[in-house]
Amino acid sequence: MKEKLVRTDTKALVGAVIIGIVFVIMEQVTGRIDAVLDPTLLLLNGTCWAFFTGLIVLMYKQPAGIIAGLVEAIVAMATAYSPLAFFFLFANTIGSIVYSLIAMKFSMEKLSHHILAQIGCTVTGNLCVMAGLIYVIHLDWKIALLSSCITALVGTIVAGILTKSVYGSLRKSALL
Amino acid sequence: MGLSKLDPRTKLVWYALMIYFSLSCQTTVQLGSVLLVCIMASFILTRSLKQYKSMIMILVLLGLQILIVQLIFCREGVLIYQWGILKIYSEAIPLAITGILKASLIFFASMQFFTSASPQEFTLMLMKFKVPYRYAMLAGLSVRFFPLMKAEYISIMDSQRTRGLKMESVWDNLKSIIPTFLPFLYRAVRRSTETALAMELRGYGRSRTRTFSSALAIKQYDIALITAMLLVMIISLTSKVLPLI
Repeated sequence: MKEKLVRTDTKALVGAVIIGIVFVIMEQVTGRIDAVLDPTLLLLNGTCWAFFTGLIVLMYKQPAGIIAGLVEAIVAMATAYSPLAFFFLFANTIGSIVYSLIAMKFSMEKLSHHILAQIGCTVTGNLCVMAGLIYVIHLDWKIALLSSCITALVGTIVAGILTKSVYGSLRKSALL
Repeated sequence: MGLSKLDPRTKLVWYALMIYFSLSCQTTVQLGSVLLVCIMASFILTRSLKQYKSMIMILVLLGLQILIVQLIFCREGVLIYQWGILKIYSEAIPLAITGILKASLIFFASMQFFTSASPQEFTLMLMKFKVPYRYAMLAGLSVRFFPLMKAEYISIMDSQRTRGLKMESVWDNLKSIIPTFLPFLYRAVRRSTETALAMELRGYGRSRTRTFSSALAIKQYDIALITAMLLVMIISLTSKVLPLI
């Protein structure tokens, strides 16, 4: 069970940092597209977040998932990429831990396993973002909840499918 | 006393204090005063605010985003304008200003903290907090790899463009995410494997401890500053919690 949760070799630690940087860059790319298409929902951004959180956990386990999440949150704070960047610290950490706890119970070979793990991850992560929407942007809690629910729903489905497909191809490529 | 003379732990406590104020202050005056203190502290310690010039444009965009969200969704105060389903309430602008000030304070404090110390100082600070050096050194690694990975992504985008991938409109950019992202991810995984191997061959993680070319030593004024900041935080917290009991 422990092997499915923890991996502390150098490859996992370095991988966490480098994939964490890829995470940051892709979040900024999708964030810019979202700012034009849907500035209030951030569907692409939320999906990208869920996808990377899941993929990093599957590739390198923990603490790599937490490290990559922290790298993303810290760069987001230092570059003012989002007014909610401070809450990403909690969203990324909690989302990643929840994903690994669910993923360790399954073989992660079926799409349903990926969707289940993504549900836990997106719900907890978006709850943290919801707190940010209420405290920083002063949104009404009902609107913040609605926005978080839509982002979580889209993130769960799209990121679940993407994680399964990309993780499968990465395993086949023997790069891991 | 320059900013570089201060211990990173002092800067961390200052950063925590600013984040605490940004989340606990509710009025425009309070938030504006804290932001002003934060800017003044930066100016006094560095004698320049040039490094924050780039943030003005970002803050304008960020402010615009918060303003649009408030104008669309705020339902507090009295209705002052209605156009179809769009309703603008009187509290939208004050709430947007408070939100912008909070976001600005978090951003300014973050930029101040993360640009005030070198990656090695962050590594040493983490080691002082008893984080094993294998993990603490990752802070420096991420700072060194960020520009490299960014250049790699730009080169992938350029090569896809020369192969005929259109990247002119927002829709084109949306469609180009997968063709640019997948090669980027695969390259990143390969690079991380090579870097990890190179680091292990140089002895990374072989022993429990390692030496560094410099060490952190906390000074008297650092202790005084940390104590003062913690006191401010405790007093503020107590004044908020006591009336509730």
